[in-house]
Amino acid sequence: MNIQNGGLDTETLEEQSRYTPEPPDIQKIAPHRDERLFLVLSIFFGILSGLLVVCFRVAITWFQVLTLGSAPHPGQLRLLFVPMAVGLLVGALVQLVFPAARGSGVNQTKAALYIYNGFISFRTVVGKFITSALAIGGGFSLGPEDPSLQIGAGVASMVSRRLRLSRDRLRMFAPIGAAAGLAAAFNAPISAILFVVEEVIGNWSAAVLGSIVLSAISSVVVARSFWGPEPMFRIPSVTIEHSGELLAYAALGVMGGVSALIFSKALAFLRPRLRQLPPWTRFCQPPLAGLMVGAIGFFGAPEVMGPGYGAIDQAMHGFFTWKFLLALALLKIFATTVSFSSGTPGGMFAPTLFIGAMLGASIASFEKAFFPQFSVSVGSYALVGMGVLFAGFLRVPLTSVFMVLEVSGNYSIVLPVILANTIAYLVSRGLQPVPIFETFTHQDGLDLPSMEEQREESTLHLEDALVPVNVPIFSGSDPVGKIATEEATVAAPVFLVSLRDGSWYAMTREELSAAAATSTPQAPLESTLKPERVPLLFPDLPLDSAIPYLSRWPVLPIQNRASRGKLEGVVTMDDVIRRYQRK
Amino acid sequence: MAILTSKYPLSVEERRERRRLILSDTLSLTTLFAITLALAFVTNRFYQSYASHQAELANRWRVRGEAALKAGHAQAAIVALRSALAYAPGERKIEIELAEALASAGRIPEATSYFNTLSESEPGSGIINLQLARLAARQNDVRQALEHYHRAIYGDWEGDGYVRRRQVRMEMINFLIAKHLDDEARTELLVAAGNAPEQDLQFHIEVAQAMEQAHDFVDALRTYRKILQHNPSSLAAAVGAGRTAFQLGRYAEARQYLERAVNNPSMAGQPVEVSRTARDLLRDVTRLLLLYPSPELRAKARSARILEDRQIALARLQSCLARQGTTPENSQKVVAAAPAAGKRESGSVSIPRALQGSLQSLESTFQHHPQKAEADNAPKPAQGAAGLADVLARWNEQPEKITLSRLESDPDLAQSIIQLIYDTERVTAQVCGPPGGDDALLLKIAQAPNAVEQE
Repeated sequence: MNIQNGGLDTETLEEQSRYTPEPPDIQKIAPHRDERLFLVLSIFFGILSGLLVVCFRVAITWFQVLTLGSAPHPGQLRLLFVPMAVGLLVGALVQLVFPAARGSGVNQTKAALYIYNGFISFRTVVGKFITSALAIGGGFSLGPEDPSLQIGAGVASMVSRRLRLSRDRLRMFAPIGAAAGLAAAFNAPISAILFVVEEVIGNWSAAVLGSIVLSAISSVVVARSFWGPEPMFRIPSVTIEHSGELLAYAALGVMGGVSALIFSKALAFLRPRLRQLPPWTRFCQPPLAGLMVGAIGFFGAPEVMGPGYGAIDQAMHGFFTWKFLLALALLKIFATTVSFSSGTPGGMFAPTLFIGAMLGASIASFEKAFFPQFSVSVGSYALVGMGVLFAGFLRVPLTSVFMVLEVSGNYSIVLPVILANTIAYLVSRGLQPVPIFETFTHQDGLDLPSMEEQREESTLHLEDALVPVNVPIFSGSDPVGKIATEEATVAAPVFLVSLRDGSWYAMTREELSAAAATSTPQAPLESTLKPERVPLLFPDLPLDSAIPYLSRWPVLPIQNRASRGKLEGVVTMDDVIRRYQRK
Repeated sequence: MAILTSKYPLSVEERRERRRLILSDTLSLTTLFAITLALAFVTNRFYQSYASHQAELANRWRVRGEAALKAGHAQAAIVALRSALAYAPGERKIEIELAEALASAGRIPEATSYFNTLSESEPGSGIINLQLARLAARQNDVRQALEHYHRAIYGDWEGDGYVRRRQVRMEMINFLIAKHLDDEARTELLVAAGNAPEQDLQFHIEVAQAMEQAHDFVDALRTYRKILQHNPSSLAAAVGAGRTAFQLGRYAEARQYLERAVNNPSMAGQPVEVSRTARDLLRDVTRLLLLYPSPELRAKARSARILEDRQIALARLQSCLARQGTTPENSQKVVAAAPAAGKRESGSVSIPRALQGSLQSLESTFQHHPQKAEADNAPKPAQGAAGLADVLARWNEQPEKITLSRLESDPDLAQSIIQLIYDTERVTAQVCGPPGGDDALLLKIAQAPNAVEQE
């Protein structure tokens, strides 16, 4: 069993080979079947993911109470030993039974989409559920959101395989399920949709967006029927009484960006080093990580253990002093780095939120203590801090803004969130060009597309390849005989014909010769043309939109959107290729 | 099945395949539906069990926390209440108790920060503002404390808001009194008294007692009177009215209330301390009224009282002079003169000549040993000594021998002696410290002689 590449390759490929794709004649006997099932199944995936995520969260809490007790506090010996024992069990399970459960789940879902045609095995889903629940409930500093994302994607993959959907559809179901899983975990459908678009798919595809929305909404409806409609965190309305207050949020953005960098660097440093150790050490790495995390809890900061939502809530309520909050942020970075690098299954979202919340609350508490004249709300700063780390560490700026708004249900905070998140994103990006998920991908030996690059890739348009009209132009009413004998047409291989209805025709020399041979010289050129016309193309259309037509038309006229029939220029296949090569 | 419709003509084999596909899809969707239902059922059971366990844990830790808080184990209460809050997030009662525990544990900044955050989400909460006021009061931040007390008073309260607001106002009043902000306390007390329904006598008694503490005896007496109008048998009101009238110098009225209190049958059920205080006060006021040379008395009786008061005042003066270190022989003469005067024929008192010597001695003492005088009675102002000398001089100017009949026939003399008695008590109190016994009572009369019989 190969456990390289985060357990992504060999086992998945083996299981995938057992799956027989649909017989090719389904498209013929039921051409709309996939399309219609797609929407129905999206709702089913949402409901199933929602139910599974609720079970997953409940299982984590049960296991936490069972092992760490209902009120973990410093000095309890169980805090020291339980994570170690759980680490031993999880390490063995991951090495011997569920190798694909390793990791957070985000990259695995991306790999399913881009490499394995949307394939996520049943074993992976079960393994992710069990090992993540054990690890997070046992005190490891990891979160349940990323595993929920993978569980959702896995459910979608399993069901769509069972229904023998086409490969294209099968591939698209992974992000749909992922959105459902994440939406249920966060109780935030918009953030889940945006995250999947920003980090998994990488572009806004209208074809899949509807299904993602349906599944995310369904899963959130299911989750809310259990957890209730309340937002995850409640903070009062934020009123920026003085624009100078935004400076503090800007400072939080800078701190968040730097913290995200430290966190990323720590993970990028430790994870590959632990993976380079001999294979047998992978049995020991989770228990050792558990011991370290347990020691942090035993000696004074049990808040760091597990996802830490309770501590986030307490920080938002101003429960801790600024020094302790800062200490918690640093300890969480350490605890998450060792937990994740040891190969223990679990996510990065909750720790990211934790670190951000502690940083934000720390700054707010510091301000309150030393600058009492400022009307500082600890809850607001903690919330903005969460978004800041999300933007800086996970590098999903749009998701980070909406996530903050959704988990708080408070839109009055939007201005500081946008400001701080943008700064954090820019700082983090400036100091660490490669996003953390991409770093993990490279460490795993995979080559998945970088969503950040995709997002920022500039699209070429026809105007970029456009050249001035360099072919002769004739009117459709001109007689064929006159045109055929004109000096200009004799040399030109192709020329454009302007027709009465404003459309254009690109005529080749051969076509003209044939027309001249079969028609009378007085016959208007328009009457000799074939019924088809060159497509209506405008300068702002994507450059690749011309390619399908260039096999039929040697030259394509590019028209003005404002005045029908007026030419802006022309493009040929050579022009398009030259432009692409120049890029 | 519409979703499987094909626009192309199908062969027999393809139609069979399509039917198989329809069957297969129907079966798959039905199975999926059944799985979803089963999962929903299992999840629901699982969640219900989880939710009840969470609620049980929250309750268990809350009870432990509250018990620890009551027992004064603040640290244990913090741990327990934090745990309770983890299982019942957002539970306002637990949040407030947790903040209280933090405050009890002396973690004032944390408690303040916690309450401030709670206040942000619920700025109008009465209980949160009350706790913030208490924290500010503990930190001697009067401005913040008053601000939060006011917010608490006008804030939202669960249950009987009127009673809670009234309690908060009384707490604020007590805080103001403790900080000696009597004017602010009086204003709030008037508001409290005005807001309270007249039949709530217990509260009015509480208000009147607070008014006494804020040195607002006039309003206190008025409130006690009002209570007694509604409930004449109220012992607390009678005692309070007697005490307040006594403070205002309205001794006749005080005696009236105190007699009513002492004769009240429920006095027997009161703590010994209460009944003793009332009786002592009644005894004092009775004695005081016996000393008071009321203009309402017949001339003979009044003159007799003036003579008695004169003896008391002279004795006090001699005692004070002795303490001031006048020559022993002069002092002895003065001291001897007063009781001797009392032992002479009834209705006749002579002015001791020795007082003149005392005067000279007193003057020389202050001229030659000013520092000694200051050292002996450091807080006394210099005019106290001058006043003593003045009083001594005025006594020496009085006729040597005064009889009852002379006093009866000479109202001016009677009045001047009364005034001298009062001045003597005032000056000696100033120079030699607060008097005791009859002198103390005479001093009280001297402070507001016209109010003694006022009702």
